[in-house]
Amino acid sequence: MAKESPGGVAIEGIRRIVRAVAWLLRASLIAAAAVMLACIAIQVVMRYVFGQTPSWSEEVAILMFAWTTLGGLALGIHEGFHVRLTVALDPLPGAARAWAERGIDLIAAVFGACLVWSGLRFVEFTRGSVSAAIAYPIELLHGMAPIAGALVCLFAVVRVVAGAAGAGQAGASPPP
Amino acid sequence: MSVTAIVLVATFAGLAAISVPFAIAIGLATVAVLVVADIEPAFFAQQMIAGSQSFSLLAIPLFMLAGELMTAGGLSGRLVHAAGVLVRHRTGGLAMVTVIASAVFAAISGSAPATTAAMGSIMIPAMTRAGYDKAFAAAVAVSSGVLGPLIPPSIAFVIWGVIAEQSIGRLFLSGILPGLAIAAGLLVVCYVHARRQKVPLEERASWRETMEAFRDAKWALMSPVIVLGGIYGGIFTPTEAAGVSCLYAILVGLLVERQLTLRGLPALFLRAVRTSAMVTAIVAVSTGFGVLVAQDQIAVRFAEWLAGSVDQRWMALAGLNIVFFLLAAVMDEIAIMVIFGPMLIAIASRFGVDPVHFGAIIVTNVAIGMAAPPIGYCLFIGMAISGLGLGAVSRRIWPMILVMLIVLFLTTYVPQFALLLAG
Repeated sequence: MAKESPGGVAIEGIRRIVRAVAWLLRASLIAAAAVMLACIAIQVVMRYVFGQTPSWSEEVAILMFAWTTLGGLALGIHEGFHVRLTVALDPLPGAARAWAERGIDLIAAVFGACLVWSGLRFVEFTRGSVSAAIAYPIELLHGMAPIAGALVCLFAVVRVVAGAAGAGQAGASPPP
Repeated sequence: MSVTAIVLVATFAGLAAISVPFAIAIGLATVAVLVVADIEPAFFAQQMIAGSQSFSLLAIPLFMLAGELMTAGGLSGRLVHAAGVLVRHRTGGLAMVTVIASAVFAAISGSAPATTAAMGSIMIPAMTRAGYDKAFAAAVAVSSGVLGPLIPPSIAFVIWGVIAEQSIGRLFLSGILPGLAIAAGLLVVCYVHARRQKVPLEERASWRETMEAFRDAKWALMSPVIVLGGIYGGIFTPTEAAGVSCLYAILVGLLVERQLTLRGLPALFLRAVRTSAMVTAIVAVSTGFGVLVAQDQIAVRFAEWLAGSVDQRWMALAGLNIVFFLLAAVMDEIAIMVIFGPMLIAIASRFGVDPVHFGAIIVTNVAIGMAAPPIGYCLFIGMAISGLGLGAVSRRIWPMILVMLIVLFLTTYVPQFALLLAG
């Protein structure tokens, strides 16, 4: 049996960690969507059956929506489903395209780093505040920006290293 | 042109041209302005969070989820069967079934790609088997799919309602007549094609088969009644209607049709989040971009310049339509709405165009952009399902695009066309 090099073991270890992070992200997005739907359902039922609208349902639903948006942004980098033009990439031969995809992933990593930087400053400025209706710590909401940025950065860097950038369809990436 | 405008446009256009995803390109263009103009970096994250804090936008993932649940729960197939017993025996009948079933599905999902995928996957193979040219079958499914943004509920109208700060309910109503007009035009195209190509006629459904088809489809047909009845009966907001539509689809899929399982639901939720995130990520990232555009008064200055150069309203509207059509050939329609929305609204306002009427014009443009070559979203779905290339489907879709352009002309220059139902 061939012995694996220390570098290969390290890369496999990193891949496993990234797979686990992506699994957790997907699970959190499913949970956020389910909670969002439950909040809307409870809001409607409470209004028509019990004659009162809960004060918390809309705020929690919007909090979950924020995560489906920002977490979904990060998942889109991991799975390569974000909308883009691929007119410039399509004529490239295989190897050149793979390098171009790495370059694009590197740009996405820069975006992620900017979001971490900006997000941490924003969290710092608003630390200690609470939400309007149910008074949850505002770091829960504002912390989503640096977390999403870190995930974007992680996934993009892994794609650059692995050279696993996916090829889009002719003209544009897969549609919503 | 100010430094802010130059940096925003150059960075965004440069990154988008080299295939960087639109959401990333918009975000980095915003960051570039923050660096150049020495603005506090926290602005970027603050605006992204702010862009995800709209209750109205929650309707996007929920309507996407409703479409997923309806398709997985077998309700899409029931709709197709019900439409089939009505018109399949007519000349071009099976193609007409695609149009009619798509119009009904559009009243459930509100999404053009979801409608194209749900109906196209059933109807493109069925039409091909029945003797239709495969490229024509794909073109019909693609062009019918774009009824999604026009027939309420509509994700595109939800986004425009948030951008333009207009009643989403009224915007929904403004899309009905343009949507139905496109559907009627498509039916004519189907008839003419089948007659010219001598496509064999299908057998007429018996009375018994018709009754059975409608009995089977009653749960699917109830969904648009609940959604639209709830919104216009003043019972739900559009966001709540989307949630109720999801719950309805889950209950029917689990308990009546029995094609959904609790174990299968997480996968459907994830699919809905994925497709929703493609749209909402662009909306959230564009918020900071939009604020910079507003602060620099780029939209107002451009509107004033245009008003000084063009004195006729009809010319300004024609120019806007042409610009939108050209932009849609190289850009995502949602990104166009979000990025150029403030500018378009400023121009429309300068020329005294009713904001709801203008919303109908914009969303009709969005619908056309999703079907028109070279980068219509629905076009790619049609290509994927049929296995055909861009050229083959594009050649067949031009009559349908022409129908849409005629409806766009009517929507633009006959305001009552959009405003009759929207009051």
